[in-house]
Amino acid sequence: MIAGWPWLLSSRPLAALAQPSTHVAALWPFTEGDAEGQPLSAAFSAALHDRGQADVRIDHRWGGADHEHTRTLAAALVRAEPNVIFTYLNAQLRAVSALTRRIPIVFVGAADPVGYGLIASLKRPGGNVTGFTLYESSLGGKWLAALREAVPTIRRVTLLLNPSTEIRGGHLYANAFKNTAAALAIEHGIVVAEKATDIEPVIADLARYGQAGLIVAPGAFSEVTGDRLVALTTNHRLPTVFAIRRFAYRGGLMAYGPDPAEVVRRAAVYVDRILRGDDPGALPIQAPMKFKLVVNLKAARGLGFELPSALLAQADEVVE
Amino acid sequence: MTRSGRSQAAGPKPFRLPLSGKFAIAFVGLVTLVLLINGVVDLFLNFEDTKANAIAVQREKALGAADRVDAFVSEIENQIGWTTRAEWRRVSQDQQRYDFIRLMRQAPAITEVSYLDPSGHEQLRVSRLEPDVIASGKDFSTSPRFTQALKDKTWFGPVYFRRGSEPYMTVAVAHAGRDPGVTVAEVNLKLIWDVVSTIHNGVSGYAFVTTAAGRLIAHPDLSLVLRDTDLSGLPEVAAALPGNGQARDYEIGRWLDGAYVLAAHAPVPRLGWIVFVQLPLREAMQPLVESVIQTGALMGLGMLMAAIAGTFLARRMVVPIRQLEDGAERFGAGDFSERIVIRTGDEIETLAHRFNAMAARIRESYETLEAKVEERTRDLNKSLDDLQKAQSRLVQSEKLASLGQLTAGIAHEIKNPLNFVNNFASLSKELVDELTEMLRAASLDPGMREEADEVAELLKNNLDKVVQHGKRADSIVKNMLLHSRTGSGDHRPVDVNALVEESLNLAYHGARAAKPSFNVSLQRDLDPAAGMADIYPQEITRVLLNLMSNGFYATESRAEQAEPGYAPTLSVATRDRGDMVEIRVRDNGTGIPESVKAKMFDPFFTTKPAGEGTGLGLSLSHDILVKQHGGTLDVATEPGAFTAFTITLPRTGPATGGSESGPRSQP
Repeated sequence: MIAGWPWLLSSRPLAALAQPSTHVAALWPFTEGDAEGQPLSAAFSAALHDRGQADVRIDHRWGGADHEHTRTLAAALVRAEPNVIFTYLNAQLRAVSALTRRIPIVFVGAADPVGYGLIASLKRPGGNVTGFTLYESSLGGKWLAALREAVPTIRRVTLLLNPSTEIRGGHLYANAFKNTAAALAIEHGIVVAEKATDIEPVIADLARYGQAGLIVAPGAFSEVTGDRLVALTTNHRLPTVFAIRRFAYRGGLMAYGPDPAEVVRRAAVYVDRILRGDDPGALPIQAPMKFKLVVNLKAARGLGFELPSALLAQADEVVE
Repeated sequence: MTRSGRSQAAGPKPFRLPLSGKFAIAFVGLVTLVLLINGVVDLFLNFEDTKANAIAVQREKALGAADRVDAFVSEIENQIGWTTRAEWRRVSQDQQRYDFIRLMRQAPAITEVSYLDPSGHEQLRVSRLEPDVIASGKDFSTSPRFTQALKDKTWFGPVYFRRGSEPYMTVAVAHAGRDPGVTVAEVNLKLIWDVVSTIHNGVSGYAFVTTAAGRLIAHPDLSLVLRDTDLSGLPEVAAALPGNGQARDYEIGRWLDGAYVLAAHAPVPRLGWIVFVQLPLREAMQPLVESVIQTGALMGLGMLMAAIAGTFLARRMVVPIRQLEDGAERFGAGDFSERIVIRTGDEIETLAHRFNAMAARIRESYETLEAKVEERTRDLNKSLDDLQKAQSRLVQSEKLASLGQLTAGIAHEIKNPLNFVNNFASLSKELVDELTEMLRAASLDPGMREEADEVAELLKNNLDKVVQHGKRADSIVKNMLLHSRTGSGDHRPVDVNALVEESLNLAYHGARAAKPSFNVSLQRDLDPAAGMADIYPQEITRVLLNLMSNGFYATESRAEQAEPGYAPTLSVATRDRGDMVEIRVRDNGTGIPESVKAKMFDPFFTTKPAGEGTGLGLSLSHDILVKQHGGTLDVATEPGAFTAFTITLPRTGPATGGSESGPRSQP
């Protein structure tokens, strides 16, 4: 995987020689060499190649969670005028879409693109932006219900949100979360974390409270700080549900969300279609069809819980 | 020449298209027409065939696709059937939830499933997106998902779009047993995509599914479905929609991108959906395209071969025609020396033979014509000669006629005084004799007597000379009168030899009388067979006398030149020439010089010294012989050697008698 990038570097002059050839730029919320970013970018490149775009130049840029860096990279990308720009997650889409209304953008993971005026409607975006959503706002309730089912004694749950999920004065997932918490008679709290240092007091506070749980909503911040969250919650023995599936494999208790690699592959199909002349404004926004529940039995044992069989029966994947 | 020149200038129209070209065009045109008709018929049949085949294939595919879509829905229905057992509502709620979770695991298309109890209230809802809801108590008792499911056992709701782009359908299945509940599932129809996109149709054909209203449910291009595309505007879809009364299960129309497609459809009756299978028309008609190419190639080949064959045949046909044309041109130019040689064994060869025959005929008639022209020219020349002769004779006659009148007048006037002179001279001579008698009787001295006798003698001599010359003048006048008067006497049969003999004697003695010293040897060569001829004897005698005296004169003239050893001879000969009698008078005298010969028949032309000839002899003779008797008078002469006059006279007498001698009928 890491071998890929020297190849990219070496291939750049060649691609420069063949300037009229197609150029696709991808902006990722990961740091270069990230264990999650590499397979996703590889999946994207592979899907594009499978669609017959063998000689397309794919320019992967790694902005991490740093907004400034992401914006700088976005400006450089737009200046290079690629044929299509691919973005992963909301902040990356915003950074690029703010700079161009002309270059087609295919996104994966965006919070309420209609609400932000990026597109006219999900059915027919109408502009230069189209793509795939990863999550639905109703999942805020679903995550809570799952946590409650795993730990029936839970009394208090905090939803850790990313700043990018903010919409029209509220937050994505927040309403569903609150409604469900009310229905289940669970004390709820919502925290919007902006810095890595913001999270530790929250976890410590919850751990002190006892019979508490944490829900980590998706977002660029979560992607980057997920591993740290896993470590902190494990240390504080705090049952946590992640929206991002991989953190269940990395020690988190549970995760409920879509398979991002699958969505990225489908987004690559959109990129291919746009390269072949389709209008991005005519390609509808698509939602994922499947969400998978991943349960980590080891983590459960570490937390001292015994997961109910009903939950295990629901689990699509069980990490032992 | 002028005629042919004019016809060349105005006759033939400008040369436009050669025969070979016309023939080739006709030939190629005919072949092309046949090929074209054949090709069109072939293509038409092929088109119908291909269309029927393609339609049959599409129909099969559509039915198959409809089956698969039906199977997809049936599968979901079966999966739901899990939860519709009669005893299911009596199992624990946890078990129910577990069953629902399992159902969703088994059927990925189901996003949400709920259980309505027999009263129509929701008892359980399990969703992939939302927290599970237990005993929400929502009342669906009047909702069709409940009522219709109870009625029909299974109810398929209308297609709707979640979030505006995700196609969903509600499937409700009533439970078994008495007083049943209903399991309601929300099915994400994007999953039919898996079914539809595996239906392969040719190279670029595919299947799609619409609702009964024409809204797209499934299409290999998912984005079209998510866009909630309404296809009822497409003719092939519109025709398939229920209520449009179309019995046909296929249609040729245009897809959204405007490309022509062949679409067949089959209904999924349980769902009211319509499955379409469509293939680009171009692909469906590929065999037809191949057939068109094949037909086109065959037609092109046929046309090429027809063109080659047509050109070849046209050339084969035109070459002999050109030869024919060249030959005809040669003939036209009058060159008949060459024949047209064509060996094609057909009509053209026959035509060439005809041309040759025609040329031969023309050549023949040319030659005949030339001979005829020559003959005619000869005739004309002869006629011209005759005419000129006649004209000269006529002129001569005219001259003679006027001369005759003149001469007759003069002679008449001279004759009377001359008679006086002659008579009185004779009388005076007798008177001198009487005087001499009287003087003899008278006595006179001898000297005086002698002198008187001498005077008397002189007087007598003088009177003799007067008489002599008076007679000569008389003779001249008589001749003149004869010349101007019609022939005396009548014509009668006469013995030619006798006439000649008589004339010769007369001439000889006349000459001797005029000049006693005259000497000539006479030769007679009279043909006993000369016989009789009906002539005017007096006239002929005159002619003979004239010719003979001329001959005597010629010999005498020659004898005067004292040529040594010269024997003056005059020969006379007669010959029997059948209908004609020939009389020849030949002398060996001075002959007639060439200059004289032309004029010797002219009146008053004479070579004799003045006073010796009248110049009328030959002129008169010619008239008598030619005009009076219808004979001829020819002369053959050599100056210094001889002159021979040859007379031919017809035995039957003068042809025209007096009328010919009209001018001399005047007194």
